[in-house]
Amino acid sequence: MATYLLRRLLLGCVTLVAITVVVYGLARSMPGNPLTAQLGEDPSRKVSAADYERMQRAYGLDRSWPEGYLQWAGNLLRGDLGRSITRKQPVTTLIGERLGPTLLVSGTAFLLIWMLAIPLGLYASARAGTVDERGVSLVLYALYSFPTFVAALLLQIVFSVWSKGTAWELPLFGMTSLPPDAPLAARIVDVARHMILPVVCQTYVSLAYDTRFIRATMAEAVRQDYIRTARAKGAGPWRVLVRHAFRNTLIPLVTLLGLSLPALVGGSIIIEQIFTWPGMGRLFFESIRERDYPTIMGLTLMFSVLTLLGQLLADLLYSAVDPRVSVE
Amino acid sequence: MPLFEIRDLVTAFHTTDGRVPAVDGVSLSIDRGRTLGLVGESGCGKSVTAMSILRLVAAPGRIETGSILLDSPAGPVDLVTLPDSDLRRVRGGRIGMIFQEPMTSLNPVFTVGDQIAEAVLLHRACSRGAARARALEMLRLVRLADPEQRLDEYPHQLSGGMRQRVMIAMALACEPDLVVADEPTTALDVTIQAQILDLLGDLRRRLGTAILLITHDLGVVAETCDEVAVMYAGRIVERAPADVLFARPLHPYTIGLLAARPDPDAAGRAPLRTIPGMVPAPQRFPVGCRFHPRCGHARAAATPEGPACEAPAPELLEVEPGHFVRCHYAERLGEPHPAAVEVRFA
Repeated sequence: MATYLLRRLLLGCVTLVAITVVVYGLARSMPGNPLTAQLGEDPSRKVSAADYERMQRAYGLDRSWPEGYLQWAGNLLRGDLGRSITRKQPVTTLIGERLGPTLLVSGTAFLLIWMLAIPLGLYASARAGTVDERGVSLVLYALYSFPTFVAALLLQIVFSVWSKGTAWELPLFGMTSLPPDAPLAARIVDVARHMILPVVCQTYVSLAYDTRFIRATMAEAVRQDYIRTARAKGAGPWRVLVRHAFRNTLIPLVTLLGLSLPALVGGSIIIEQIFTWPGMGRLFFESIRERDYPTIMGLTLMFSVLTLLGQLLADLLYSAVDPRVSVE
Repeated sequence: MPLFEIRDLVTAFHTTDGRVPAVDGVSLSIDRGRTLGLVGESGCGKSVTAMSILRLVAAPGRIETGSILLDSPAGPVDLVTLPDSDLRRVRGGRIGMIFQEPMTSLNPVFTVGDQIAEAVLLHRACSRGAARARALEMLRLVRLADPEQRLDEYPHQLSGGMRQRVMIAMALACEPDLVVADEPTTALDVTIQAQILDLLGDLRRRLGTAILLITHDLGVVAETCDEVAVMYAGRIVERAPADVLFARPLHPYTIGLLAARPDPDAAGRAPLRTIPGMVPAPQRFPVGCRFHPRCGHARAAATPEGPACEAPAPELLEVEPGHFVRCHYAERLGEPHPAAVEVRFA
């Protein structure tokens, strides 16, 4: 077990180096840099050539990207993710500020997805072939095919524009519309109301996907001989479905679960952008637009670590749910 | 009445090719503590008969007509029409089942002990501890080595023979009146086969359980069964006490099956005998006697006096007490026709 973990960790480190080298190289090779991206947006801020030179040196932009990468990696080993060039704040502070709002939306969506997908998937497999199951499956397939950005805009029109002034009205975007000194209870209600549309958007696609995934793996499981054995010893239909079939579908499910870990923290770029939600997805999008290399690298590193951890977690859970698998 | 009786069972599959009657009017009965062997080639409908008993036939298969009667204190119950909740009490409670594939018939994610204990818990009001104790007792009964250790092992840690012992332990855990064993030894090595058959016979004597043994292996039948029913193309063609059947087989198909057994004394010298032709697919069962296209009698007996084998279908007739044959020439079958069995090089 210990040697297995050690091997996985070493392999993970190699993977991380590869990912960060590629991403740093690509980011630095994009046209423009943090200075031009900022200055280009604001024609009033003219900078003299000498000042531009000086600023480039100050941010280390005059050096080649391999040198820049080594410097970034060196700082990282000392526990320093660097400072954002465009926001003048440590990258860790920026990530810390954005993590909470993202977790709020994606965590809620994550709970909703699994709390609904498992019963829905089981229901669909129990009623396989009936009219109501076909109806549910059709709706899920339609939802799965429906693009998030269209759904988000549609929801905004229905609940923010058309419902304006009614009890159904929901905030168009943002996370809060109350001042920070408002009473705590009022602020909680306010944020919760702002959350509804982003959470719905983030939930429905995964819900449709996961439910169909569970239904498909269950359809495979109920064809197995041990299901016939369970029925032959007198187990009822739900016992057969949940205890005997579903327990066996946990093996593919934990993979799905492990792979959804980075998305949980990463948030959705599209949804956060449409709803102007101050989360990680938006930070990532903005940092790329601003060519803010330290922030891009900080976020890349975090997502990569989480992806690798998610895979490791899935592999460890494997051996927990399948006695035939051992991590040795 | 006997402990268990199947009357005119018809189980058909409704596929895109149309209705496929895999079991087409099967009747048989078993007395308490007796063993009935149901023999036939692959595809003759013997496994579908077994699955029909506990209504385990998967869609698109369906029991269409007939009754499956199990004698009970309050009179016989018909398993075909029994409500699901009552049928669940029969499954594993009064009728245990052993399947052909020990490798895939146990659930891979539960320990052997859990799976046997589950059968106990489903039918008896007892604690988990008592169910576990019963599971251990059953593993001892089926003579599994190191039962205490095996109890907490998973199926993948056991060999095929050990898994089949576990299946038998599970099927017998609630002391059923009848065990349906569907090719219980087919997937096992010959030496393990003999051990498993010995075990089944021994358990039957000790527990008084009746057994319906489904097999294609006549050697297995000869060693273990009191009575034998031979199935061909969805129907029973001959039924007799085992010693009678082996001494005086009457139906040309039974004669062909017995003749097709390799003779160990003549190994390598005499050619293996086979029955010419193929087992018909249920979509294309011949009219009249279903064996006639492969039967030497049908070809030899094209005489004006007897009924033609092409039509009508022969009935199952009792030619001597306890000995039934489905053949138009049943009375004349006593003296085997020289052309009844053709000899072919296998």
